[in-house]
Amino acid sequence: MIKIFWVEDQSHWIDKFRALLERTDFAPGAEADLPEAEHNKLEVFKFSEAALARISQTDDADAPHIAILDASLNGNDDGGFSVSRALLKKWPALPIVFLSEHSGTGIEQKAFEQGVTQDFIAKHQRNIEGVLLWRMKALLRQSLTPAANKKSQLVSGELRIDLVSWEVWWKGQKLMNPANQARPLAPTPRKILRFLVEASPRPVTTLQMAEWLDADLEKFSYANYRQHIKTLRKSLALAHGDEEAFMNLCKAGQGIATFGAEGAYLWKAPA
Amino acid sequence: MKDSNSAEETLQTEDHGDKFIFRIRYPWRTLLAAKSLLFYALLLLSPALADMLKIPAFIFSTQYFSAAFAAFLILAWLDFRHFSRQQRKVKASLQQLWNSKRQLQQRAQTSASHTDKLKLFISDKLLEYMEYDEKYLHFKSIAAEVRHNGVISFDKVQSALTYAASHSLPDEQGNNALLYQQALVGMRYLWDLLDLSTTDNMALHIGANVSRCEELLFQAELQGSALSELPLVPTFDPQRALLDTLTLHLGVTLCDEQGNPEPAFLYDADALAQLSAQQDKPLLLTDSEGLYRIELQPCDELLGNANHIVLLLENLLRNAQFFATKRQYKSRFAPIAIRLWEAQQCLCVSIYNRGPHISDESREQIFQLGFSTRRAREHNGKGLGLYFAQQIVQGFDGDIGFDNIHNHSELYHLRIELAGGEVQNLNLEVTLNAAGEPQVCLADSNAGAAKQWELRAEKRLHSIEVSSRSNPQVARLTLAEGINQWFDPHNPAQPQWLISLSGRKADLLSFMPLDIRGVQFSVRLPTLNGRLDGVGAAGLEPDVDELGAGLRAPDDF
Repeated sequence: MIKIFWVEDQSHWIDKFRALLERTDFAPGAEADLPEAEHNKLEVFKFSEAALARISQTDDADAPHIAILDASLNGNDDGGFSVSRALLKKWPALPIVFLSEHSGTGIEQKAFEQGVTQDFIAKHQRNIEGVLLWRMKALLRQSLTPAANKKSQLVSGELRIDLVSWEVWWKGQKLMNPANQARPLAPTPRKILRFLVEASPRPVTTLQMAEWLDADLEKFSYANYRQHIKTLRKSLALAHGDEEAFMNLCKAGQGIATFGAEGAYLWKAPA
Repeated sequence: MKDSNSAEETLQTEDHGDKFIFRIRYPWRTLLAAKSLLFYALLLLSPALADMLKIPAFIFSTQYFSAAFAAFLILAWLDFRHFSRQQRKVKASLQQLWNSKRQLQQRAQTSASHTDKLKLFISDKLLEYMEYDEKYLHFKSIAAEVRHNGVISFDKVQSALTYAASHSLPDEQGNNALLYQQALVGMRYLWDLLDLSTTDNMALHIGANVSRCEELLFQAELQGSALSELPLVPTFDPQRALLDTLTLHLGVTLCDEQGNPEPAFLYDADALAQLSAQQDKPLLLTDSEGLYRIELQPCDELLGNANHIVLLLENLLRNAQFFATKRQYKSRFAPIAIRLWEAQQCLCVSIYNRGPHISDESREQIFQLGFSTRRAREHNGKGLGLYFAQQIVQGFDGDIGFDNIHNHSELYHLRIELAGGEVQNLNLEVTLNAAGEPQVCLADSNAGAAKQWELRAEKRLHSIEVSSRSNPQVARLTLAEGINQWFDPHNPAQPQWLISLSGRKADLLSFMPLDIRGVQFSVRLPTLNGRLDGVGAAGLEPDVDELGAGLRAPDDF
């Protein structure tokens, strides 16, 4: 059972999602619905003022697990923003989802620019129920994962690879496609980086990498491997902030370093 | 004119650079001479005074007086001449000063009028833009309000239609709730149009959506799960998007190759995919009005929202439809040819229409906002369609362009076989007239070129073989009952000739070169597998840097 803090000014959406949010088991890997006695606890507010008052009165022990906010509340485009700021001030690690009809507009842009949300979901999209639950599960996964199973991350120095979501972070920055920073990094470079980090400090040859990737040996050549390494280095360099400095690290045998003459590369966390 | 005596002063001007110095000069020589002459005259009139002053008497002779008077006149003349010269100089200087002042004044007036005009122009434009901005903002706020209030209605209608579609019984044709499905598709398209119209940057908005879908695709790939297991299917079938555009949004009644309207596979996604994949040759479709020739080849899925591609295709096809229905662009073959295929992990779509060529000057402007290929007087030429098309293509990391299609001169070889085995070989030359239209005549003959060439056969025709100088491959036409015309089989989308039979005994054969002038728009978008392999992110240009990868040393960083 989790506690959901929900601010929504239109009854239609409350009616539509209430039962769904109450009975869904957000625990990682859970498939079946929760039994009625263990239903999630929903706190629904129609006005931002009421939500703000509740935040100020709530103890840390009673803190919600996740918040769902409508961006525009009763004609006030900043309604959701003010609630989000109050929530983050009190519980900085609280996952917040914006559920709004203003997807693709300046409101979404502002929400991400101001860092008041981790996700912005359009209400009018196809299969909105499925999308909402899926995104909430993704946000709740870290906080709801039992401590024993928390080894879902691969960490090497400043590099962090989430082994479930496959997101890769360098110095707190998510690795993106170097050719277009708005797009995600392609899957093969992510897989290659994971294998390099797992094998570290041993180098991985083209043949070994092809086997690990389960790739066709006729198609996966050193040229492919090298191209993916180039993409990875560029992506890491962009996240590093100083592109030249990161490339110099690689040249000096750190980060993703070239090894020997057999088309091998290795991962060595920069000191 | 002033007398020298009456001239009290002379103004002398000296030009020292750009400043004038005025110096007063008195005619002292003349004045002194006049005074001396008067004194001389006084002495002449008063001899007592001369005696008292003891002046010799010979001085008072007439010669001396005349000489003195003459000397006075000479001095007076010299002074007068000098005065006149100075006066002219001063006048010229004043004139020059006046002229320069007038020029300055004129220049000031011109500048002032230019400034006024500029001010007026700027203020007009400013007002215009302010007005546009206000209208735009007004529109935006209305759209945002509509969106805000409409989203609940949209959700209710969508939920109701989804429920109705899943609970309705099959209709007479066995289609399960086809109308509900179509209504849902239409509703979602309407919503996506509203969604796009309220974004600040269409390309960025679509790009962000594609990125979200790409992340879903990558997650499925990395975790080894099927796309269908995701809460939202991030891909769509471009063939289906094209057929939906034609049937649902342009109201076209599609027919199969045999001309049977609305074949069942058009409404069944799986059947269409199977049919398209199984066929060795492309799937051909036409329409009931004879406007379209559609060629579909198997192709990979695309990432993103199908409705964005529908909007792109709708704009390009509406443009093509506009020209296809104009009288001057009519043709003997389908005036709109659509081709969809896959090449190098990219989906390629080409749309040909018989419209007028686009000039080189317009090449750069054609995709700009407000530029229209249609004449300004025409009702629909708002210059939005191609701008939208380009924005959408940019959002999908693809590219869009066009080619002008021209007629060509050609030499055709006809081998006509008559009943009884008799064979006739003919060479036909196609040339272009001043208007660029093709004309035909018998090669090496004196006959003038005409729109079509005719031959009255003495016996029944058995078969015709056609080849050309640029394409020696022979097209063999076997004459059978019921068929009386054949289009160039080598260029089915833009056939370059038409052979037809007429006459009472079908004995009149005619060869007509066809006017294929028009414009072909081409769109290229990275496919699903192209995305996985990294096509599109860096544009579709080859990576020049990587061309020499094989030549580098293995330890080259």
